[in-house]
Amino acid sequence: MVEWISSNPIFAVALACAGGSALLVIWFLVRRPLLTHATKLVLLMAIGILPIATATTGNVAGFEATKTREFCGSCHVMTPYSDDSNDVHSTTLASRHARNKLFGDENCYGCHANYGMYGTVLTKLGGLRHVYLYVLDYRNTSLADARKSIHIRTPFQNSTCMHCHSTEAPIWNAVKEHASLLPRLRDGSISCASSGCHGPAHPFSKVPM
Amino acid sequence: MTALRVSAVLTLLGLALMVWSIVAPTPLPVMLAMTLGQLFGTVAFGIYLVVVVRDIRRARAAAK
Repeated sequence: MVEWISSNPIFAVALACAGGSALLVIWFLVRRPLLTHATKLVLLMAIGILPIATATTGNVAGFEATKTREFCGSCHVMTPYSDDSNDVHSTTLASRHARNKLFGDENCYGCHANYGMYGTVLTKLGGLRHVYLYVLDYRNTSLADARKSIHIRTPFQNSTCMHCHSTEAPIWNAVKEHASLLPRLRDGSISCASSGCHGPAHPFSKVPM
Repeated sequence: MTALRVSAVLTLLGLALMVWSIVAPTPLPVMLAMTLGQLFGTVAFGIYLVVVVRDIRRARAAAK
């Protein structure tokens, strides 16, 4: 854990602010000093400035944490997906992207995020909806039932793939299937993740149950 | 002073939730930190501000 925290200075700042605030608050609770100007200033740090700094850096750390595959896989219904991504022998799109250093531990977010102007906000709102549904409806669902009942909400957009694979590169257009299907790929009438092309993205996507 | 002690305890609770979300970033701690943790922190700071502003007003009134 120490290695993980030291790998990101934001975590260290958040924990330092929280520690400093906690020490000052405990000092106030134990010593019970009179409410002098000095006490007010100490409490301003302990109850105001340091906790606000902790909340701010903690939010940043939290938002970063929600991008990781470990976070997505922490809901049990998602473990088959994260296990597949972790499988170095898997040939699914998800797993191959997980082995790409540009995606790495954030391959779920990399492919399922929105990339528009409000993409990050919309993605986080979608994530909140996932947590809400998980807590209320799917917390006790078996994996077998989850595979039958949980599906992607809207069809996967080719524009997400095109965020990296722009369809402009000569090497991409040198593939004859790409070149012949270019208009249909760009307008989304054929999915990049179709079976027979690059899909399915996960080992159990679009497989009849 | 009782109000300030309540504020201090709320601060500790809020900090605990925030730290929990940092060391164990799974859905439950992260959601709790961003909702209850920040609510506790905001209420605690609000109580502090009310107490301090009242104290300053009292001190000014007494000086007059």
